[in-house]
Amino acid sequence: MVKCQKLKKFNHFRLYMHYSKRAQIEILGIAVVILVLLAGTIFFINLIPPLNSRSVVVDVARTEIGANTLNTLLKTTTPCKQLKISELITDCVDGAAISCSTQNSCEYLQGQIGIILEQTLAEWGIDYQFDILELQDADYVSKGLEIKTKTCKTYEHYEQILPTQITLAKASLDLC
Amino acid sequence: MNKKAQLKMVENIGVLVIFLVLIVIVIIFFMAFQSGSIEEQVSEFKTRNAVQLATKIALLPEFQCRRNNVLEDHCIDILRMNSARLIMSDTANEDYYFRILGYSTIKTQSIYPEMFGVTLYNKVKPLFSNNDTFSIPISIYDPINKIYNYGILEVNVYG
Repeated sequence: MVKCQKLKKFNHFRLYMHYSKRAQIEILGIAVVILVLLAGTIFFINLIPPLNSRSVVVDVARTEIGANTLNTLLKTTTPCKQLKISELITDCVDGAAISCSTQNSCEYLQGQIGIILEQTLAEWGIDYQFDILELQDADYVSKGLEIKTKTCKTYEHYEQILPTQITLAKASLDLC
Repeated sequence: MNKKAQLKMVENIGVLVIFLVLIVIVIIFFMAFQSGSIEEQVSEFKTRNAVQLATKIALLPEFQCRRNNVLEDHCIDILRMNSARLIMSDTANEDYYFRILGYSTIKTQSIYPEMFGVTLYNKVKPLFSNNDTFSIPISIYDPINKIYNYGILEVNVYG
């Protein structure tokens, strides 16, 4: 009787061990599957480029365009008394003494710069903001001649400081 | 017992089939992703070539402006440009310029205040599969009238 009870207990223990081991293996299997899934997800997340990311080449190309646009623009000769755009900007900041046909230098600049940027940046699908600023009490204040295709939320900024007879002028170009 | 083993086998086969289907889906997704990435890399490579070439042209002594013997960046002298155009199209110099400029078309276009366009170099690749264009603003200086025109240097690279 005692022997039979012992045998029953042993069988019960064997059965318990058998199922317990199987459950452990199942849990291990699930863990492996979860690990593989996690590794796969991390791998794909790494592959997907972040939103609004631009390659170095595109960045270099845009920098070339931005810097060259401003440098070339300021150097350009206008039909107004053969003056350069940079000279007209300094005159505009100093009080707009020069008149170009019926316009003063500020109004004339706005029209001419608009024509140039329209035929280059706008044509290439690049949105921009161009402005002329003057130094007043240690701060640059806009002359209100802003030329833009849209207001940029994020932008690359290019600027050039031009000394005038009275103060300093700043030509500023933002590429969106 | 026999039935139980059969059931087990069916279960195993089912798991294998699902696993294989999952692997196939992952491979298809990965291949589609990689092909897009390769196209992007090719386009980037072409853009890089065009940007490099445009920068190279802007600094070529054949075209570059000089004022009192000082070189000006990103400025092309009209007189130098016209002379260089003849030299570059000469068959004796063809190899030399091909080594520098490769298969490409290089044009300058003045847009303000005067409007004109000049093709500096043109070597189209026979049966080219693709091309990439890059344009940068450049000054075109007229030393006779002392005028700086606002121009565009357009580089078209063939691949």
